[in-house]
Formats: sequence, C-alpha cells, structure tokens
Amino acid sequence: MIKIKKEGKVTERQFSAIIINTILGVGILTLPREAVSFADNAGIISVILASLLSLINLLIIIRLGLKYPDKTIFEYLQILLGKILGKIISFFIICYWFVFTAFVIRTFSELIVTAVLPKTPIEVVIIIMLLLVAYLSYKDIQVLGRVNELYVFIVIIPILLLTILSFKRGHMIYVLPVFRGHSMVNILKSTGRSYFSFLGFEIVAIILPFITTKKLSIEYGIKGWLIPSILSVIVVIASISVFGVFELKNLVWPTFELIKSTQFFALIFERLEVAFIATWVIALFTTASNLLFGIAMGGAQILNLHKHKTLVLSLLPLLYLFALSPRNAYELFNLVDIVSIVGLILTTILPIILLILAEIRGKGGKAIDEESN
Amino acid sequence: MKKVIKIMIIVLLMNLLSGCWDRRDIEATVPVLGVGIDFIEEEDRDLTKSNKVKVTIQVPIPANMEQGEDVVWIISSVGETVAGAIDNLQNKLNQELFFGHLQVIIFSQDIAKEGINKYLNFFRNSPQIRRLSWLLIAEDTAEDIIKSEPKLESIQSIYLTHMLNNGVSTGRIPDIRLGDFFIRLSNPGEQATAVMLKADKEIIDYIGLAVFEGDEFVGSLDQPETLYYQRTLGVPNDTSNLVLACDPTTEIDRLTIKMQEVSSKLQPELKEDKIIMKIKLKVEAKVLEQLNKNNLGREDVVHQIERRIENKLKREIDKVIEKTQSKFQTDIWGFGEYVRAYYPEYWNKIKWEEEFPKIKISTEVKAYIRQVGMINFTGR
Amino acid sequence: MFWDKITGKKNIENIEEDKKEINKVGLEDSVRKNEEIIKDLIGESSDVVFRKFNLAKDEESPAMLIYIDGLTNTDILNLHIIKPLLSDLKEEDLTENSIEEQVDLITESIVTTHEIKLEKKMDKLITAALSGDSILLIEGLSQGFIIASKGWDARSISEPTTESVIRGPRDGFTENLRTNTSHIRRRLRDPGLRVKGVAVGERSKTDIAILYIEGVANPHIVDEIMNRIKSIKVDGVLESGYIEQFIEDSPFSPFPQLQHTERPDKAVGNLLEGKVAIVVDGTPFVLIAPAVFEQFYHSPEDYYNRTVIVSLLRVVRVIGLMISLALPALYIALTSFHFEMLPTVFALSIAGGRAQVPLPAYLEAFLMEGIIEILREASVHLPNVIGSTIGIVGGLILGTAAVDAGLVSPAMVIVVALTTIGSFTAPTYSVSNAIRILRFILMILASSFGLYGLVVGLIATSIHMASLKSFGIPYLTPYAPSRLEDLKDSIIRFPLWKMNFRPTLMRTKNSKREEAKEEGDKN
Repeated sequence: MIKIKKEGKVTERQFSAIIINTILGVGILTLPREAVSFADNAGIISVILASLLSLINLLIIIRLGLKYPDKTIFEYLQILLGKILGKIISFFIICYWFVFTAFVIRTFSELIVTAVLPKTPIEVVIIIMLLLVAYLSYKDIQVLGRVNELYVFIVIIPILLLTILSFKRGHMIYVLPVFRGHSMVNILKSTGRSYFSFLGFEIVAIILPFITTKKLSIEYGIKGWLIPSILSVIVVIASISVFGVFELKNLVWPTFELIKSTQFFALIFERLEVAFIATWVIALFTTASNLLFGIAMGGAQILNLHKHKTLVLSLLPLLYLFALSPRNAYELFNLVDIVSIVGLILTTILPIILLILAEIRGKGGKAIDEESN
Repeated sequence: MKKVIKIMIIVLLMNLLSGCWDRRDIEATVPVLGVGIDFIEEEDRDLTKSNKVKVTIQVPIPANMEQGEDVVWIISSVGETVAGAIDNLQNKLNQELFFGHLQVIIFSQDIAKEGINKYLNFFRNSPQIRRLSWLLIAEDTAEDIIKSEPKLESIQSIYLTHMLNNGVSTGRIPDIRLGDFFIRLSNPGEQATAVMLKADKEIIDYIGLAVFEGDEFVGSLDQPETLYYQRTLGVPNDTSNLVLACDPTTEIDRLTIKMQEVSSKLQPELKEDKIIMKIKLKVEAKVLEQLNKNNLGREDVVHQIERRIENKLKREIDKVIEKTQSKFQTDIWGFGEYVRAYYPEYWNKIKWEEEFPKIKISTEVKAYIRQVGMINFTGR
Repeated sequence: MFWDKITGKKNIENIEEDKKEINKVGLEDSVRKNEEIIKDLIGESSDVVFRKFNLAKDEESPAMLIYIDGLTNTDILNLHIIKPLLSDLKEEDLTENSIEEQVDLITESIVTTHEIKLEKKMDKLITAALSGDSILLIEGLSQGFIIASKGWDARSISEPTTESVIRGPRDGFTENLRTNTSHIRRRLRDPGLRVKGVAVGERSKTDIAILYIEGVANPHIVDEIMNRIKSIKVDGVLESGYIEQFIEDSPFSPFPQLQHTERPDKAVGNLLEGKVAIVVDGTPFVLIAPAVFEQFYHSPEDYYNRTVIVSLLRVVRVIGLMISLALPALYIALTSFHFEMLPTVFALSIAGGRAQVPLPAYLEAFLMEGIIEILREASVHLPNVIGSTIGIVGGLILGTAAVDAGLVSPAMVIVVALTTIGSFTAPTYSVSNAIRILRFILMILASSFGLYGLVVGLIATSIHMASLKSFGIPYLTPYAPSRLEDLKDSIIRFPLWKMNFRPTLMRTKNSKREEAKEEGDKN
C-alpha cells in the first residue's frame, strides 16, 4: 500500500471550509422545491431533519476516522473488511461519488444553459467546468484547502444577502402551518429528497487524515456543517414566504426564481440573477473539485498508484460522458433522485456498520493511539 | 505524453473560445419594453371566428435618445398565440427581439375575461422575463396604453413603471407584479388581482384593481375601493386621503385625514365549522385640512374625530368586502391563506372557493390621531 | 549549438577554462616578472595603470602599484600610499630588516589607508584591482598587498522615482552596494542585523549582500535564499532582476514572487518582519523575499499615516486593482451577453452610444486596451520632457477623436480610462504588470462566455495564486491559509500598537515584535 504523507497539510479552518463548500453546491438551488414536494409547509421540518441526519452521519464518519487517524476511508475499509471486500466497497463509494459529481456538474450546466447562455451548447459549458475542476483537483491537498478557504465567504455572503433581501417581498402567512396538518410519512419523504443538498460532507473521510490538529476535527466538523444547514433552512423559509408552497412546486429552479423576485437596492446592476449564478459557479466548482479529488485519491489508493494526479486526467473524459448521459433535465432530476437515495443509504448505513466493526476490533486487537499534536 | 495532453488542451480551448454562441451586441437586439395583448378587432374576429391575438410591442430607438424625438417605435402583429404573434413580429424586424428589459405586460379587459393564463404562459416560460415586471389590465385596449404619449418621459413604458413604483411606495397602488400574479394563480387561498389602467392620448390613468377568479377577469374595484382594500391589508398610506363628512349636504363639517400608519391583523376563528374572519385595523392618522373650526386641542374633539374615522373606515371596508363576497365571489384578500395557516385540518376538508362567499367577516377599526398640523385652533 | 549561444552555456565553459589558468598562476618574487604576468592576464587596457617607483627612493628596491584608473581615489593613492612609501620609509628600514619585517613595517607603520592585506593568489589580486583596490608589489616578496582605495563617481542619494510617497523619508537606494547597506544599518542599529556577502556572475563578479536579522528571520528561509543565490550560474548580473529571475519559484507565473523596492524604509520594515533583503551592487532596486500577494498593495506610507485613513486607502487600492483586472471583461460581458443586468435606461444609453460604432463590443474593448498598452509602452521610452505631451496627445486627442468619429463608444473610453488609472493604484509596479496580462485573458474568456467565462477565469487565477509559493510561504497568506494575527495588517490595517506580533507566515523565532533582542526566550 502506498503511503502518502498526510501529516498537517490542512488546517482546521480549511477543514471546515472544505465541508462547507462541498455541501453547498447544486442542491440548494432546488432544495426549496424538494423540501415542499411532499411535506408542503412542513418542508422546513424536513430540511432540519435532513440536516440533523447529515450531522449524525458526519460525526460518525469523523469518529470512525479518528480511530484510524492516519488513514483515509479507502485504507481502513481494507483493514476492517479485508482486502477484497474492502476494495469492492471502496470501488462502490468511488462510483457513487463519480456519478454524483457528474450529475452535479450537469445540473448546474443545465441551469447555465437555461438562464445565462441559452444558445451555447451544454457540452461546451460542461467541458469548461470540467477543465476548471480538474485544474484544482490536479493540485495538492494544501492548494485544495487554501482555495476552499478563500471561497467560503464568497459562497456564503451572496446567498445570505439574497435571502435577507428577499424576505421583503415575503408573506409570513405562507410559511404557516409548519407543524399541523402534515403526515409524518410525507415529511420523511421530503427529508429524503432534501438530504441530497446535504450530501458531500462524506468528503471528510478523505480529508481527515490530513488535518493538523485532530482533536479539533469534531468541533470544526460541526462548524462546517452548521453554516450550510443554517443557509439551507433560511433559503427554504425565504422561498416559502415569497412564493408559497403551491407556486414553489411549479418552479424548476426555486432559488434562482427567488433572486428574480427580489428587488436589490439598485446599484449599477438591476437584475442580479446572472451575477448570482456566476458566483454560484464557485460553490459548484468547489463541490465538484473536492469530490473529484476524493475520487482520484481513493482510486489511487485502490489501484496502488503513487499520485492521484494521473487519475484526475484520465477520469475527465469519463466524467464528461456521464454528465452528458441524461437526455434532458427531467431525466436528470430522476437520476439525481436515485443518486441521492444511494447517497442516503451509503452515508447512513455504511459508517455505522464500520464503526461497530471498528469498536469490536478495537476491543479485541491493538488499540489505536490517538494523535495529540 | 504530457506535451501531447497539453497541446490537446490548448487546441480544445482555442476551439471553445473561438465559438461564442451567445454573443450579441447590445445595439444588435431589439429590447422590448412593453407588450400589449388585445383581441383582434371585432369585425375581423367575426370573419375568422378564432381567438386571434394582436400583440403590440414598444421598442426604444437608442440612437434617438439624445435628441429626445422619435424615441419609441410601436409595431404590432397578429397570431394564434402570443408566441406566434411574437414570431410574426420577429419577421418584421432586422434584429432579434429581447425581453430581458420588459417592463409592462398589458392585457385588455376583453382578453382577461377569457382567462389570461394561456397568454401568460409564454412569459412564464421564458427565463428572460423579470418576475418584477408589471402585469396590467387595460380598461379598453392595451394598444391604447402602449401608444399613449406621456409628456414627462420619452419612453412610455418607463413612465409607466415610474408611475406604478411611485404609487406603490406611497401606498396608492397595490404592489401586484407579474410574479405575485403567478403566485396568486397557484395559491388556492387567494385570488389574483392586477392594476387597471385607462389611457387617453397623453394621460395614463390608474383606475383601480382588476379582480380575477382563477385567471379570468370578473370585475374591478374602483380607486377608492382599492384604497380601502389596501388599508385592510395593512399597507401604509402616504398620499391618499380619507375625506370625512358627517353631513354630505353641508361642506362645513368636512375633514381630510391622512392615514400615516396602518397595521392590520387578520385572525380567522373556527366556530362550529364556520370560519369567522376577524380584521383588526389600527390607524394612525393626521388631520390634513378641516373646514370647520373644531378645536383640535380639545381631547373630546379629537376623540370624536377618531370615532368618525373608525366608523367611516369600517363602513367602507365592509362595503368592499361585501362586494368581493357577493358580486365577484373571489377571495382577493388572501383570507384563505390565513385559514390554511391556522386551521389546516379544516382547510383540507373544504373547498375555499365555495366557502368564501359564506364566511362571516368582522371588522374592527381603531383610529388614533397623532398629528394635528401646524394651525393652532385653541386661540379662538 | 545555437541555443547554447543564446543561453551562454558555452561562455560559462570558457570561463571555467580561464579560471583554471588564473588559478594556476602564482606570484614570482620579482616585480618585473609579476608585472609581465599581470599584463599577460589583464591585457593591454588603457585604464590599467602600472605605477613604478622605488621604496624609500632606493633604487635597489623597486615597487609597483597597480590600479584601475577611475575606480580608485587618487587622493588615497597619492597621499596615503605612494607618499609614505617614498618618504616615510627610510633606506635603513629596507637594508636592516628581513623581507617579513619589511612587510610588517609597511602594513603597520607606513601605509596610512584603512585597509591593507597580503594576498598570495594572483586571481584574487586581479579581482581586487578590478573592483577598485590597488595592488602593491615589492621586490623579493612573492605576495602582493591589496590596499583599499576604492573611490569612483556615483549618483548621489536622491528621491526614489518609482515609489513616491507623500509622507515618508525622501532618500532612496543608489547604485552603490555599500551606500545601500549603510542606509539599512543606519535605520537598524540592531546587533542581530547580518550582512552576508556573495559575488555572483562568472565575469561580472557582482557583489551581492544578503541582509536579515538574526533571531528574527527564519533560518531555513535564509539558508534557502543563500543556496539559491550561490547556485546561480550566469555571466553577469547587471540588475537585481537577474537574481530575481534565477531564484523565484515559478518563473512562468505572471505574479511577482519577490518584491523590489527603492526605499530603505520599506526594506527595513520588511527586515523587521523577518524577511530577507538582497542588495545587488549596481542597482538601486533591493529585492525582498519572500513576498506574498498581500504586500503588493501595501505602501510604506501605510505605516506612517493614521490607521483609519490607511484602511480606507487600502480598500481604494484593492478596488482599483479589481477594476483594472476585470472591468473591461465585465464591460464585454454586460454589453454583449447580459445586458438585462443593466438598468433599462442605462442599457439604452449605452446602446445609444454604441449605435454608430462599427465594431462589436469585444473588438472595441480589445482595440482600446491595445492602444492604451501601446501608449503606455511608448511613454516609458520617451524622454521625460515629451512624455507628458504624448500622454495628452494620446489620451485626450485620440480618445475624443475616436468618440467623435464614432469609432468607439463613450462608455468604452470611460472603461479604458478607469482600467488604466486603476492599475496605478498599486504601489508596486510589478503587480500591475501581472494584472495587465490577466486582464487580456479575462477579456478573451468574457468575450466567449460572458460572465460565466469571467468567473471561470477568476477562479482559475485564484487557483493558480493559491498554488504559488514564495520560498515556502503560500502566496495568498494571510487569506488562504488564513492567519488571524496577520489579517491585522491586510486590507484593514490595525493600529500599530495592536500589531504585537510579527507575521506568523514567516514562522519567525521571535514572534513578538518588541522582544527582538531577547533571543529565543519566546516559544
């Protein structure tokens, strides 16, 4: 097995930033619709439930990672499950990330082609995005951490500003009733759908061994989870208060429509939705490149390669083909639903099983010493 | 190998960069500022026997902006659908039509009576259209409004938006834009409304509020009625005034009041499977002018005026509510949303369209006079 | 090989051969023979002076003073070397003493210059003579004296022209290495200040001084810089730019990775932060390493003015940089892709201005930016006297004429003017060069994909910047990796008394600013 030196390459703040940027991606653009799709006004509860579920899963993964402080998930999978089964599961995780990344890029390109560049072929938009993503994934993990850190606020501030301003046109009466008149089943169904926009936190399974101060990883992991969760809840509340549940279900890109309905204090620019999408490129690009980094890293570890870089380049054409595979937006959304179900299962069940296995092993076998620097 | 990849990437980039599918220069488009949609004139309509629409657009001529003459160009075209008519328009133009700057969409009353959803679909589907554009109903034809020539602004659509925005900020005109119209169309608990206009050559007049049932125009509230409608929903008022007169025959008792602060509380109550809608209105008013010599320094006089305001407002508001309940039978107030919010179980059982005309509505108005103006009457 | 000729590889080999020859040559004990050897090595150059005279006017002890005319101070030669050797030295001194005693006598009692030493090797002697010292050869000694006699005409200290400030010292570095180091010493009476000398350039043998404060600067960085400078193989070093290009980390990046300054106060300020200054003889530009992007919009004046004003000025500078980086690209994106973003009336007036313009907006932008670049380049090479005239002709007349003729739109002229002026808000020249290059790349991207292209370009730029390093220091510190302590001196400059710590990015030994002298008691 190839040992890549992993000590102290990512600061805790960068660790948070990576979590934030990976979670905040394409999900939040459709989240308001997904949240109310079954649950109507209780969509807010669904989103909160989804975010709490993601927190639990995140903590389990961090806990698991701390048991093997210098190993990525792909390495301790092989320890816990044996070499062959471990590699199979690793391969499965990589495939899931791969499809996820491809669809994230496709979804966003779809939005760009609908709203910003209607005549540009979607292939071109995807290629440009892929090249950009590959450019970052090709670099080292330190650069990845720095870029993420740099962009955290550029991603957070526009969406925060947008939601605060959009409340001006909102009617709080549209938000009610949150707690009454909804069946639990529907709320849970919406939770499942909303969970998609929280996916991405599982990237910690790759990043954790690189963090400088392992003791702080839980604290900063929670910080990294908190910001996207708060943003998601605010965006959902704002969207419901502006559109109402019934209109929201009609909107393909609710967050995008939210900007279109918001009056900004007129600067030189009147309509900021294009500018918003342009800045949202950053959020999306960080998600995709973090995941691609994870894929390449994992692939390198499974295939016993020395560098993740070679894989990044060879995966690009595949990603391109995958991103283009859905024929239209509806097929894409259906596929995304399937991916999010797979993601739900994968990030909920697998870490628990692994943690239990690790606990059993930890008792019987060698104790794993905690890193304390 | 690495060099080959690099060269490939460079070639790819060159290819990508040389293509510029979406580039069109700002002057090489025809920005549409206003769209008017009418039925085709009566006689033609009889001949063809189909619902052909006539789309009139207003296009600015940027090159003439400096001189200030001939700044807009108005052209129209006929088609089976809005999209078809716009396609026909495109055939007459040298450059591509661009709807990103669309300010107003005007429908004639006739077309609105048949339901405007099918005509709005074109605008709803296009990502270029702003949700903050105005959807307006013309009392006669939309073309008249598009063709009107107001004096203060060379481009009529911009004049119109300024007029409407100003009306909104002072509380005269309800803030119902295209996006709000869509929302109200989808929401079962409230019905759509739109601002109604009338044009006469140079003058564009705001005449009230068009009331819809679903997407069909069913009638309108006139200007004073809209004023009370607005106050009921708690929109503060900056310029519209309330004239109080105890005795209409004598002018002596007349008072003009300005409602500066209005706050309303809508509270539905479910009693024996019947909804009672309670409206509590709190008004802070200012006396603008009075023709008698009431001493506003005296507390009882102020109280008396306050009572008069309350009575007047309650009477008028009840009248408007009555009109919507019995005449139009549509809930333009959004009471249904309150019922849905507070009694979701009850809401799921009923059909609000049927229920709304039957519900009881109780209005309660509380008025306070805060400012009495600068004339001191106590001295006499 | 042609390539070798250009890069000078061959020359270096030749030099090495020459060097071996010189190294082999030793000194004879006869003045005549030594003179011949030296003439052989140095050639018949008209500025090399061989002054023959007799020690103590004794014909049996000839001596020779060899120096380069113009590099030496004739007063020193006349009054402190030749005169004492002729008159103060007595004939008995020569006859009664052995040759060793004579040497001691000359160095200790006769020659009155401040520096004199003996040297055995011919190559060292010649280098000394070529750098302005004089060589004294006496009969019977197979060594030579090197007597300090440097003295040549140099530009006097004047105000720096490239970095002007309103408030702050007016003196600038000059071409003289010693003057420059003395500038720094004068401001920094710290015993920890180290001045390490190196000579670089196989032929030019340019003196280079590396300055840092022991106990403050990170020793690893100092070692790294020393090693990189020592490994430079080049014919000559004419300017600090030579050094910069040899030791920077990423030569193909548009961003400068070393700072250069003409201002001693700036150099000292950076030394106090734990950085290293590289002074090169023959140029007033002193290099400062490592450099992060952050510093390029800092001016030394920032620390002399009051904190609120400075923070405001820095915000202005950043806005200026942003404008000069992205405004033309934004203009292209807005006028040819997303004009719905502009308010209607504004969009119409831009469209009105563009109605007569024959070129599409992106070509218009490229044309105007190109013209500005030509003007800018021309104005650099113009003599100062006509420079301003050309500026007026180029800027005003060309601009107005172009607008009047309907070749460009008025909005474009405003954009170009803002762009150019914005690029001068950066106090450092080198960073505005980087931005000039990137501006055109962003314009290309924006003219293909509008705002999407612009943002993609900006992201790619920032990835590149995040991956840059200057001597191991990430280029974007203190933003990424973020260091809260360092952020006190970023866009917002905290009051001086709040900035208690040296930049953590340097990983200095003494992080607390005031405790520089108590070495090592911190951490």
